[in-house]
Amino acid sequence: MMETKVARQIILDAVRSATAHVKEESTPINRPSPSRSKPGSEPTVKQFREMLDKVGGESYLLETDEQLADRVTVLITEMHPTSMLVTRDEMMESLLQGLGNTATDIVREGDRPFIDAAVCEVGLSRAMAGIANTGTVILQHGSSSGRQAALLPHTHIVIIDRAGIYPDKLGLVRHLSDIGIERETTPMTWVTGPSLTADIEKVLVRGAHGPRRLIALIR
Amino acid sequence: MSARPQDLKENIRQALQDERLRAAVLKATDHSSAKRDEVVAEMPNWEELRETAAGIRDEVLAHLDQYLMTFEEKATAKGIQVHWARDSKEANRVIEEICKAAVGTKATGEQPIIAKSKSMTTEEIGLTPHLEKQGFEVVETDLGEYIVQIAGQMPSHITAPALHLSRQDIGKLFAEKLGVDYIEDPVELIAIARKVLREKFLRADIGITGANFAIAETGTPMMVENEGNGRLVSALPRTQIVVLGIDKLVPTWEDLMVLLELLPRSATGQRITGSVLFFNRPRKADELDGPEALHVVLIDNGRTKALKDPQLRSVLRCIRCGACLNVCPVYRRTGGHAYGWVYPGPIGSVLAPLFLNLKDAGDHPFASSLCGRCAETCPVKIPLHHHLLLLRSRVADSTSNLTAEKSLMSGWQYVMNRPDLYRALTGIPRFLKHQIIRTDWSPKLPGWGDQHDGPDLAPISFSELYRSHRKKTDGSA
Repeated sequence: MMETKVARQIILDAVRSATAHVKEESTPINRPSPSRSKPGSEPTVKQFREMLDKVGGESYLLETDEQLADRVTVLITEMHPTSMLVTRDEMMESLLQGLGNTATDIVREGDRPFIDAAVCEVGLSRAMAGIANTGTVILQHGSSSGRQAALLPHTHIVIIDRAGIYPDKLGLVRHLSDIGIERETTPMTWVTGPSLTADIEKVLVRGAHGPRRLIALIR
Repeated sequence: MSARPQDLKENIRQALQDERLRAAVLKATDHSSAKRDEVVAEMPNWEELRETAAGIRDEVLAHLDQYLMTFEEKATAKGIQVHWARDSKEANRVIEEICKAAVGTKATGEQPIIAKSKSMTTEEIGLTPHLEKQGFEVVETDLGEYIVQIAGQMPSHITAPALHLSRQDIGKLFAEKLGVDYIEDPVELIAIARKVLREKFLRADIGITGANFAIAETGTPMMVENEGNGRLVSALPRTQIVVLGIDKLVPTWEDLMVLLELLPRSATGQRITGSVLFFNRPRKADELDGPEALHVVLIDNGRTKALKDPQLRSVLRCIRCGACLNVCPVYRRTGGHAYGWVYPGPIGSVLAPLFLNLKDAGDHPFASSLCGRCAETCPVKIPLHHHLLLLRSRVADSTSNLTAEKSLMSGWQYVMNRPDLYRALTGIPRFLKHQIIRTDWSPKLPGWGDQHDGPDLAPISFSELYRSHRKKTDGSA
């Protein structure tokens, strides 16, 4: 667009002339360092669960794949959704096979248009990382995992890799590539607890446009 | 109340008469600043973080052209389309063209739908009315913005748009505009909004968001939110447009993490918001959701003007948290509408004269008690109180008719230089009151006297009291 090229030049020129005489700050910027606690360690996981609880999230700690499958089965049996929206992770398929008998329809992301996928009451997805001091789950979006399963249903169950739970934001960001996340190109959503709003008289209500229930299964 | 910055004084007068408004605003701002104080108290390094953040923002502003070009280069390499706009007119035109191109193949007769998440920058440029005139249905999806949209009002706070409305107001509004039964329970009201807006999310052709920051090193626009509407408008529609001011750049992800410690705590008293979204690129062919076309619109609209101003430049550090509003004795008693512009409170009172002009917004710097709480609270240490004072002097300098004020000042200076004359003159009202009028009278001062009682006149002056006391003690010694 020709117009945008012209605007671009004018804006950059205006910026340059405005900052031409800006004095360089002599005092160096003192940047913080990340916590030295190990990711996935017991205190880190404990803190993750506490902070998640504070914002209305729920969590379970599972030691084996069997325990994980059992917990998912129990949750589905309790909630008895008609259908569950799941991502297309490799790991998801083996998990689904290991589930006990439930009457729930499994819908994979992409099987149906959004308007039909939105009918699913429960969503199941996976997270490779988290932040302990805020209780945050890191969702990454790509070909095996979209955004829908974690977003459209009113309950989101997320299976989170214990080894990727970092003590703080800075630690996580420094090690994103260790977990296979490219900071430059991987679209991400960092989710902390259920969606919420306080726009009416500052009364905190959990469950706004996103899920009203978030359950983290730490494996 | 008028929506013009020129009407500030009259708007404030009206706002002060409205007891319900005042109660609502006080309650909400009390709540917000208490929550903010709680989570800030958890951070022993809060002051260091503020210092670091101010340094980071100043560094960006000092090299803004480089950061903008890096951002554009990195973003473009990933398939993000970057556009530039000098002012609101240009921005609206650019966005209109993107929207028209995006829905080009839609069947005629079907009104295209744009779902918007909260963006003060889009309010600043008046985007919604512009797009509506072009035939688009524009739906605000942030609950507070949705409420003021259907009420036909402007938002009254940077982060809590409907803070001036009670649950009863909102209940009546929903009953009237949505045809539902009247309810006032926030949980039920939110459930209604969720249901109505869900349909819009699913049918929207275009999603428009703001961006709290744009990371230069990787060309990543990003935003924070709580409700999940930002996630929905960046997941489902085929086109997403991100609108932001050029001052939103941050150099690196690590620097962003510093700002993310400060922003949620200052804005909503949270350690982190419910969602933090990184719009790294449009979707690839084999992906299941996310926009196929991702656009970023970089807007100047007065920011380079502020950048050119060496004394006021630090105002561009602003991260739009709204914390200064919550502690301002003026904002807390009037709410945001009185300011007649998109950004109210202390930050608005500095930005309005800068982004608009000194004439239309000349009263804004005077809507302050100079208590300094704004500067104390600002997470990026903008010296707002100094800026307000500086703007006052600029307003005075630009005012041509100061004859009365100048005469008064000369007269006062003349008297103050002559102690006997001073004593004689100030003795007159005292004499009048205590020897002649003998009631509760006190002189009414022009202008200032409309809102304040006059000075309480003692029977004798302090110097007379001191002299007579000295005589006594010397005498008896």
